[in-house]
Amino acid sequence: MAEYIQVDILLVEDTTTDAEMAIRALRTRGLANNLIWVKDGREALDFLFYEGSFSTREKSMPRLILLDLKMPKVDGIEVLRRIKQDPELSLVPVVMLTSSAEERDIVDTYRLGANSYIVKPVDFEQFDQVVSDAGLYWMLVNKLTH
Amino acid sequence: MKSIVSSSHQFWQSKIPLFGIVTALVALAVITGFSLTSIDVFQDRAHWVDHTYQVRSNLEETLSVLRDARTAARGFVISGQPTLLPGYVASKNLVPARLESLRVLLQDNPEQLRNITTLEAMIATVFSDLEAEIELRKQSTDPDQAIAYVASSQARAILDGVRTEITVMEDVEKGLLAQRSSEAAQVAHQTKLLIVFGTAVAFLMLVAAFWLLLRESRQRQSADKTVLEMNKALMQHASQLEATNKELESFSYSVSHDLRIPLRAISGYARMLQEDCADKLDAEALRLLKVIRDNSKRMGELIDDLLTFSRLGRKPIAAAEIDMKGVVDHIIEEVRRRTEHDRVDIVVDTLPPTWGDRSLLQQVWTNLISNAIKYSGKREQPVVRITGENQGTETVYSISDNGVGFDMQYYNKLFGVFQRLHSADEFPGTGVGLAIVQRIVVRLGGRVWAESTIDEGATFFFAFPQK
Repeated sequence: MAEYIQVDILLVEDTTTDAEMAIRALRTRGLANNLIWVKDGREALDFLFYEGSFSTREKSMPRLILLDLKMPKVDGIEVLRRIKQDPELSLVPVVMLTSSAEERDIVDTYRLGANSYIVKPVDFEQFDQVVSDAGLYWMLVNKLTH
Repeated sequence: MKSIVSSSHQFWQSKIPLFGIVTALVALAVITGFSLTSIDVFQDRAHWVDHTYQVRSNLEETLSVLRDARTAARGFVISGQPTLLPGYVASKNLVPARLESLRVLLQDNPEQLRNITTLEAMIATVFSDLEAEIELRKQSTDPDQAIAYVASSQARAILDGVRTEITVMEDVEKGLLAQRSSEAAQVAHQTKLLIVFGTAVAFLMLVAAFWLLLRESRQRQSADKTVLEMNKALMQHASQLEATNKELESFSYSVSHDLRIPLRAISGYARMLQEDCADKLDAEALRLLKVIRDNSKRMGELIDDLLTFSRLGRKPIAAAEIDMKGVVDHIIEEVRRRTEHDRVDIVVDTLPPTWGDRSLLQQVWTNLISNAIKYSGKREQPVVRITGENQGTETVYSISDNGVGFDMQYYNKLFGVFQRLHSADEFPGTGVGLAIVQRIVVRLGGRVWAESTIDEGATFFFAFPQK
């Protein structure tokens, strides 16, 4: 049982600086203790479906997924589709965290079952606020399934 | 000019085949007319041949009756047989009917009527001579005396005269027939010529008309082909332009989009440095960090505006009738709430409604009202006035302020993207607001313009065609 780690948040983000700032924002609110950061859609799917480098991972589901949209290899839309097609994973809230404010992207992700859509603010202070607000709401305020 | 000339040319060209067909029809009508007249002439000629024959036959019969009468009279004189006298009388009685029928036949020929009168007189002389011979023989018992009288009588000479007269009359009729025949022949010749010539003309005209129509149809086909080709080229060009436009839109979107990531990092890491290492940094280092953050924030605004501007080209237009007064009042309320310029006096006249996209028109008014407030905000008594009225075929809206205005010398830069006529230190802004206004107004089918005097204020107008 030494390998067992309860993952609270799965952060899927290809931009290192954005990831670091997001982690920092969550950490300052004490939400990043059990956070896993993967750098693209392929890695995210490997993690969620116990494939590739995560094939030996202990069975557990994150409580919140923060998902970027535009990523190399497999993009956020595809990851979202796979999550929402899976009967168990579909219960995990997925918050889209993206630079895109395109109407089409918003509509597409909500259709696929995204639980929230957040446009990353350019300004760091606002970014910090928005990410920590989302973390607090989904991890502490919102009632999740067990 | 060229098109007018060529269209008039085409007009006449299109009339030529019609002219040819009409000419051909006229030629055929003339040929028909002449042919009918010609048939009449031939029928007439046939009638005259018959007439001449009747006249001649009557004349011959008259002569024959005279001979019979004379033979009977002579027979009686020589033989004294009274049985011969009824034959004489019968022949004599036939003569008036012959003459009468001749008169009827020749009633419209005065010359022949005169000849008949002469003939009648001669015949009367013949008969009185024969009567005298018969009387002499009846009374005389000596047949030789009567025979001698017969021998001495003038009857023979007179009868020769009658024969001559009849020949004359026959010749007159023959002459007339010959003249009429020659006339008929001439008409026949003329008709023949006319038929040949007229048919040739009609044929040529029809061939010409057909040829011209054929040529016209070919020209039209080739013109149609040219138009089709041009259309195709135009469509190709349009789709190329559309593709280029889309490419540009997506390029500007991606650029603005991708620019945000490093920008957020710059501002974020500067902030992290400020927070995490505050105790290791002196006042000057903190000031420099603030400059970095202020500038990255400003660049963020520029990118946001550029994104808005880029999105305008792709946003579909939802057209509806818009209550402009309602839109403007709502925006003023919102702008006042956002800024601290609530001392600006904003006067809004009655605004006629227009046809357009609500969210786009809201953007136009927001930018114009914000500008008016911004540039008049430094006055002691800033006033902004918004008007609208129907002018001719357009509905014109205007917004004027008593602010700093702008130099009309740089008017051509006023609506350009990232063009500013004031420094950012004086008045904050990115220089995209008026470019957005112009892009929206033009996209909604309107036009936008402005007037200003430096330090006295500016007026912006925009107009949409009336629905």
